[in-house]
Amino acid sequence: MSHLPFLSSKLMHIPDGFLSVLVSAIFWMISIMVLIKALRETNRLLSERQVPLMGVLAAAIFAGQMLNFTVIGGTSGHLLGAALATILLGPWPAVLIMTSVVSIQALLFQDGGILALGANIFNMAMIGVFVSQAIYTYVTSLLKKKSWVFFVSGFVAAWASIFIASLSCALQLSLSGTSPANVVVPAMAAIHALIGIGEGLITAGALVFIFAARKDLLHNDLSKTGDHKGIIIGGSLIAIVLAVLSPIASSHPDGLEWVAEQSGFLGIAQDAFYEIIPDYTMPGINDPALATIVAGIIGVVIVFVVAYGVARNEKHSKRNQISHG
Amino acid sequence: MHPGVKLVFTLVFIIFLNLTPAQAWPAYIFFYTFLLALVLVSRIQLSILFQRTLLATPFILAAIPLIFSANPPYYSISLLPDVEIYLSLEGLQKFVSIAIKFFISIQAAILLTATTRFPDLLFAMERLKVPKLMVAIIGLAWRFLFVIRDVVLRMIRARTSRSSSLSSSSHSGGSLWWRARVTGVMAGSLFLRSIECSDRIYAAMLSRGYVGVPLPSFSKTISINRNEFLGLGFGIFLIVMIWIFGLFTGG
Repeated sequence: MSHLPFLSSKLMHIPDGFLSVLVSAIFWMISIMVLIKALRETNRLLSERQVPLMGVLAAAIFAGQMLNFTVIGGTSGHLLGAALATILLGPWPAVLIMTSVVSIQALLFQDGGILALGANIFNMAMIGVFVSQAIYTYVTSLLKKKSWVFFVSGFVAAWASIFIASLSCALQLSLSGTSPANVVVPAMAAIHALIGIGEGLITAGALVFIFAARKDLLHNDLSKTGDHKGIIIGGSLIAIVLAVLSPIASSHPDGLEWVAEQSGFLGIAQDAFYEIIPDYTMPGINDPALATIVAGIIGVVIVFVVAYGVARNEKHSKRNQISHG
Repeated sequence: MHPGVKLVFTLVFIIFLNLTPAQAWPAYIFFYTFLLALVLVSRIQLSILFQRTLLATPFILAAIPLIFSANPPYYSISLLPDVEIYLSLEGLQKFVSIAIKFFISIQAAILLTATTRFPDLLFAMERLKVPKLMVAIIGLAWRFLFVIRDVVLRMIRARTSRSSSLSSSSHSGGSLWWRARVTGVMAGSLFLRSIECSDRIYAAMLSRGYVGVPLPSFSKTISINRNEFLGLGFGIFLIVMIWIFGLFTGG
């Protein structure tokens, strides 16, 4: 299986079926808006020279997710790369790079769903990048002029990007009613607090190496151009809101669903949607059990007919090939 | 078939499948029948379909707590004389619904990628008004993914031959700290190599007349013909019918 090595970071890639369409649509819209902004900023800041750079770095992050090291018995730390890309290239190009990575994983390797892609992009390409940028800036300015500043700020930024992104992922799942918040939030948080350490160590190691080999890349204009105040404030806000919201959500028995119901938001949306068709029972098939059986029989017949048709067709084409060739 | 048709159809299929309420078992059967019929017509190998589906299954763990925590009525099952667990029927039905939707959606996505070449998919995305810069980056990433994967595999092989992958420190050459640092250095050098590689790629692109416009598409001239358009319309019509049917039968 050639694609097996790519399937390393399962936990944060939500497949289809786990998010309600409403939640998916909301996060698609948010992601598209941020993406448009990122494309505009990148176009403004970078020359066409950077297009191949971003493409190749996206491939490097994707392939770099295979890099791992054993921790204890079977578990391993590995790289997701949002923080590393942010620190090297600046936030907006990093958003584009991570979006490419997540999209290819969904489209080509079924690592994460297509409908859920908006939410996955939001978690990994946006929260991951913005939180890294905010934390990296804070820690760097706190530890001015220390030689190990890259190491510490890189580690903290990478850990926080994983941790906060996993909180967002957990909240999306519980908002969809797929997983109760009091289970999924602590579980995701605990797992990713550990995974984040691996991410942090690798990111810090990479930064130390780059610092030694190509110091110019860390001091280049690329990540310093433009005013990132908005991102820094946004990233900190996201981190704070998610960090506060998660314990609240998980301490309440029904978590976010309850919040959504209280505010009447989810209920209204769903009612309006299903009221397009009023109460109505199908003539003949209002017994669900009967309907299931009928559907099953029709299904089997359709599949059989198609299989038969394909087989016949194949026979014909083979015969034609023989007679012609 | 035109890749845009396939992409749109897959999106519509997955959206309506996920809009179908929980417990609409007959509708699920119809959705899966429809998909299986397409799989049969496309003649992709069933073993590939199910192998790839299995690879993504562990995520189902996220929905398992539903079985125990949804609304009453609860049913108690005694595992041991003194140990009882409570199951919620509604939760169980929700869980099975999620698992079925996941199962069918991922197979629809596999059908799309197994029958469409990636450049065609990029072309379809361009047609659906995905920004050119985004498509260009995704396209480049896909092209160099396999080259860079080989670089990473070489690095990992080199590290393994120097035995830093074992977990006990007496065999691995160093502590956990050391192993993490080695991996970090690998990631760093991978980045540097990629950056240098991209400079060469840029030079090569320039020499072939690249002027900042993203790479030309592969099958720009092909447009959707009448038959494909009708087929797409009919397919979406069927999906909507199944979905409406699902609204009545669902819980």
